[in-house]
Amino acid sequence: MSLIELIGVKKLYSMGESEVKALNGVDLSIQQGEFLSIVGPSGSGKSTLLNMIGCIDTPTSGKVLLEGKDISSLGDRELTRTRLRKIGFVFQQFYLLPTLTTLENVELPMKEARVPHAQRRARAEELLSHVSLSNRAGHYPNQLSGGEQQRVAIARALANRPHLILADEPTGEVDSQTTDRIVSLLRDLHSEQGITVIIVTHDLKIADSTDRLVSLNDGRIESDVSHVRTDRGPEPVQSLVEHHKDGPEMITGKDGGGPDMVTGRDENETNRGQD
Amino acid sequence: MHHFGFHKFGRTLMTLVAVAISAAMMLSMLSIAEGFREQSMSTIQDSHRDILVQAPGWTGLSDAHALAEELESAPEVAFASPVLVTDTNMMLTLTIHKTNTFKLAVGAGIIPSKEKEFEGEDRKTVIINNFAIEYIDDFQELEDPFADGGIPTRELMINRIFAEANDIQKGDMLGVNGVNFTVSGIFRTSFSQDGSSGVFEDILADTAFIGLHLSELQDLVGLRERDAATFIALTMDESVRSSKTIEDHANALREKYSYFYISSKADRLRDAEERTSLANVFYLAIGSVAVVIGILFLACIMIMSVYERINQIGMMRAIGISRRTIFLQTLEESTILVSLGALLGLPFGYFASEFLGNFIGANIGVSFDLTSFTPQIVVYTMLLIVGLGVLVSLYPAWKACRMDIIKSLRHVG
Ligand SMILES: Nc1ncnc2c1ncn2[C@@H]1O[C@H](COP(=O)(O)OP(=O)(O)OP(=O)(O)O)[C@@H](O)[C@H]1O
Ligand SMILES: [Mg+2]
Repeated sequence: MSLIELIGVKKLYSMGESEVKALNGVDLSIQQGEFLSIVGPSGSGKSTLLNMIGCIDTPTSGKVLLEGKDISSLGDRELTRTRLRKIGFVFQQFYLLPTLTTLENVELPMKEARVPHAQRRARAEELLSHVSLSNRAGHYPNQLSGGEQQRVAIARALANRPHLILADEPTGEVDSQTTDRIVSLLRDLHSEQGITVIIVTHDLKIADSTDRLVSLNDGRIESDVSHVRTDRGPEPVQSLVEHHKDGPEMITGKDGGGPDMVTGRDENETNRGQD
Repeated sequence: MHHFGFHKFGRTLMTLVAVAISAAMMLSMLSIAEGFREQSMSTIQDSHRDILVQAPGWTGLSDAHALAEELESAPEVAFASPVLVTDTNMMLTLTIHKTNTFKLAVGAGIIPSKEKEFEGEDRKTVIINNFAIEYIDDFQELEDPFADGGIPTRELMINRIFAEANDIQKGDMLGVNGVNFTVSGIFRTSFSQDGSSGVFEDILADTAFIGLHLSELQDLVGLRERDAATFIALTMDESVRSSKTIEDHANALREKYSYFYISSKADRLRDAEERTSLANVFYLAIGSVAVVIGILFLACIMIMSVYERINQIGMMRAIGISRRTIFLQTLEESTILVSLGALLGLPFGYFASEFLGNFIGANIGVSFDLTSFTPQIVVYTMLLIVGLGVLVSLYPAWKACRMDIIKSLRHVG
């Protein structure tokens, strides 16, 4: 069973007369443990897609299955619970609570999950040290740099040991050096803990470094490519990206096909096996 | 650990102050109302007149003395004394000989020997129509100056405010309806003990309030032959004087004298309670307006801060914080805010009630403590304000927890 399965997903916004098709028939299947990026021009529906996977949005038509369960059939309570326990969100704008310290921000999801105080404090400290911010535990978000805030947000996303990390342009507001740091942090989560990581990005360098690249255009999947990424470098994807830029027809991945359209599936699983 | 917190310091402070002011207003209004109530209650409570027996009209009591004697013969009754109070259509004309001025007077006819007998040594208080006359000077204690061909005392007491305003001293001569009287005493009403000026004092300075022997007042107003009295006041014997025996005796009298209006102390307390509760509505209204303004302020601030935090709320919902948590968090914040504000208002309320009490007291010329800052008032006000604060916060809290996650995240504030 796929971790995530999107079947014919459409999301329409009607604005009076006109209609915006944020997603226009998306089929996508993501396995546990993938490290995947979603790219595409602005307005192509990347965030909308990610929000569906993250159980904070529902499709106008089609199905989003999370661990086989149709999220449209779940009530707010179950969806909230799923987000809390199974999903870690990282946003472009960091969204830390300004009135809480770094440590308290990381504790927040654990508090909601009723983790006992001592335990959650210990875990928050551990997570902060993991993102190398132990010395900033007592600081408030406005005392941190953008990159530091984003690392806190990642620590917060990890608090309840999710299977899935969803990051919507996590490096959109930080410089390139910080970007590298954040991406490698996310990659480590994937490789060390087997967490499924999905990154929405404009940054081709980031897309490059992921194992699978889903490219959206006008609410449709234009290409979906998996490749064996060696520790040496990201050449295969690099070339793909270049192809992608030239034209979608060059891409080996299938666009907008059926549920099992992802050509790179087997390849990817092999790759995971190697990790 | 608060998700939201009170980081907007200035605004938080303003809300606290607004709530504190409304709490202070409510507290002071309630304590003034309570002070008034207690005062009028204690005037009745302290009175030695346990039961009033009253005819339907003020002159309707024929043979008042005989009836008083009959009432007095009951073993539970210490004494019964007829009281005559002239009312406004029976104004007495007072001539001040020194200045040759005419003034109007309201007369209260009492039997001093009886009233004095009952009271303690130093304070002789007679309550007539809610005025407490305290006669502190000599007054001939005859049962009836006319009895057995006796000579009328031709003595009267006059209220101090009138006396001072018209330069009347003890020993002066005053004419009442053309009959000369010696001022044998100056009495104080409980509304004029400290000499401050006010509306009552203005009235009292212009219209004399005189106390004299019952039979002499009856004589003056031409009612002596009919033994007229406004009512007969009964005082129970000290040994059986409890509210229950008073009530029992009043009931017995009601059966026996069905044509009289009989009111026990409890009845008069109830009447006074009703009268004051009507006045209290006024104070309560003022306090309520203040509370409503304070609470509305709080509600606006809460709505504002919810709208300001749309992104934060969206984020919290996205990472799995439940509606319940957000709802409770918002409520908790406003509860803390309103409770702190109400607590802050407590000392202000105390001082405001003291100040307002003195201010109003000075204006209407009363000297007793006009305010009663009781624990019940404090508890009531706190509960009211916190309760209302929580109530009006339900809306912003509900708004916060029902927000659409996607819209909240995309919201550009
Ligand atoms: N609430 C809405 N009402 C109308 N249209 C909407 C709404 N939300 C999203 N859209 C439209 O849906 C489309 C997809 O939006 P989405 O945010 O998913 O794009 P994106 O790929 O994430 O873009 P970007 O890279 O700029 O973040 C856009 O054309 C957007 O204008
Ligand atoms: Mg987007």
